[in-house]
Amino acid sequence: MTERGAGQLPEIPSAAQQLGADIQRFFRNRLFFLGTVILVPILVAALGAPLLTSYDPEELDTKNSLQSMSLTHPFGTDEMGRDVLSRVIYGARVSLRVGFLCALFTTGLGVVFGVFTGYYRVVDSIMSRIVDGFMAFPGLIMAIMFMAALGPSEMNVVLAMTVLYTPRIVRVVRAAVLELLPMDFIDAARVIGASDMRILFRHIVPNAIAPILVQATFGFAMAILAEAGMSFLGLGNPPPAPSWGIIISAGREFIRTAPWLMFFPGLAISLSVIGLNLIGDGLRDLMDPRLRNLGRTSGGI
Amino acid sequence: MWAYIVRRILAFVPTMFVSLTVIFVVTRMLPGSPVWSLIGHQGVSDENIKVAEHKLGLDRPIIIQYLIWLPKMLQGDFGESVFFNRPVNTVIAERLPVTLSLASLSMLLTLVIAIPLGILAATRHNSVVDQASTVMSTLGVSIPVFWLGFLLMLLFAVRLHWFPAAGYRPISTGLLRWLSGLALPVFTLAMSQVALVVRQSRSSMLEVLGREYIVTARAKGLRESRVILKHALRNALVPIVTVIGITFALSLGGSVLVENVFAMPGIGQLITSASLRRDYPTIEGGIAFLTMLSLTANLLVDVSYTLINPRIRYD
Repeated sequence: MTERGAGQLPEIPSAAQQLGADIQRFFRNRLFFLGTVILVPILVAALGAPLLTSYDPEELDTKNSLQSMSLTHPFGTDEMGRDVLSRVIYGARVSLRVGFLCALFTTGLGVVFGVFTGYYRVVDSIMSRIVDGFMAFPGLIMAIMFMAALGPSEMNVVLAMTVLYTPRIVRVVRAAVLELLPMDFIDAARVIGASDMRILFRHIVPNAIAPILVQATFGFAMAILAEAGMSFLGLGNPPPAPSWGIIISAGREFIRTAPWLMFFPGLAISLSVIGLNLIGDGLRDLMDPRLRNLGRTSGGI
Repeated sequence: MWAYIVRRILAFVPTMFVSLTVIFVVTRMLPGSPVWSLIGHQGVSDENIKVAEHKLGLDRPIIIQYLIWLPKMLQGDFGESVFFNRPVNTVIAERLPVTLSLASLSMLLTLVIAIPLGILAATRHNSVVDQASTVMSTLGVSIPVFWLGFLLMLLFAVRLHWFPAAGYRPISTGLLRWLSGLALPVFTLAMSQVALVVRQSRSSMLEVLGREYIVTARAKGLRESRVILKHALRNALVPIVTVIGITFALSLGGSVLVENVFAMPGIGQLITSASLRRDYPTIEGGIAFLTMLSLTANLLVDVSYTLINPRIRYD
């Protein structure tokens, strides 16, 4: 270590060094690291699905139906003779797509609504009632109601989950805005003549990014669980889509004779959701230890 | 205190109002007319559709429909099921014991497991018990409840024959029969709830245990059990009770899946099958009923604050 004289500034690390240090810091967090280790293979499987399996997930082969686990079909085959491994791999695409889109939409909408709700009293008094009303619903029940009205399709699952989860993000963003508003730098911005929009989106949102990102990760996880749950009930993705929920639902009839049908897709759901929840927990610890109480509430799905 | 309780009950009304409005907007204003579920798609003349719509009041302006519908719903009159040709209320009442047994027993099991475990994890911070409880709560919120149900069914019903695999036996057939039929579904649902309650009881106990009055209580020589139960738990209880309320609401959603897995004729299964048949009055009634149940649970939670913590300011 070089000796630092008076008035000498400490060395400023280059951008690359800083990035390297940040990445190192992230991976030194056990939760974040473990979550990444679980999730990355699933992501790779989803992206490289055609390279990993030579079977078409929807191709019927009734001569080879309900085969047990073997070298040609590591996860066995279902009642239509479809390869379960390739259905589970392609299922990762469905789940991650639904989860990602939900996280994206809820975060976008939640930030916009949340910021205005926290900033303007009038908006707050109306929005907070609506948010309370939405939160009063037992989560999955409301999703079922939406799916009953809209009809089963993947896009409708995304829509239903977005409506369902946005109020949570609104709450988190609103709380962050209320916490930041009395701070000096907001007054300073106002004094130099910044507009409301500039204060909200240049000064407040960037400072509230930690809780938003954490909540979005949990939302991603919840959307995967909800998509699986609704497809399982027959209200989500329509068959023959290789959704994990559908594979389990089809496998239930054969629980006595072919339990592997429902075992592997369930394992895939569990691992993805565990991975995402661990990443969320890790992010929360890394970015803002004060957020420890920011809860996951996906239980029950 | 009474003024506070009355205010909480009054605040219940606008929330119920908003929830019912959401139900109306979603089920009525989205594409897909309820008439189709009544008379089927093919071979129906436009005239017959008009007659059916008139009978259901669907030819009136949407706002009038809403104004007729809302007071009825608020009175608990959910109309007539299109599928069963009976009042939705009767259908719900028949299925209520199933859902209530499942929800209340799983809540009970959750509390019996989660609160002691949370306290233990907090008092032995960073011990094996603590780490086990953290792992358990991560697994509990991550494993899909319907898959867990099948795994338990596979192990305890199909392989070991300890419990029946599916169905519901009313309590009138005998207490033991009732309980053994409920064992697997109750345990399945409880696992996901335990996760949430353990997490909260651990963290709020940890916070309270660091306070000075705990040091004082220990310094004056109180028994550890008294310090934990009387001084710490009592003060840690408010956030725990809040989470219990939230957990109950979530469990009503979870019970839909669990009832489906174990083929139990409860309200959750009623809503799912009504959704597949597009039986709108039943969907609306079932959802309104469960929403009211969850709002009532949260009202009880709010009221219980006054018992737990006399210092709460009620203004």
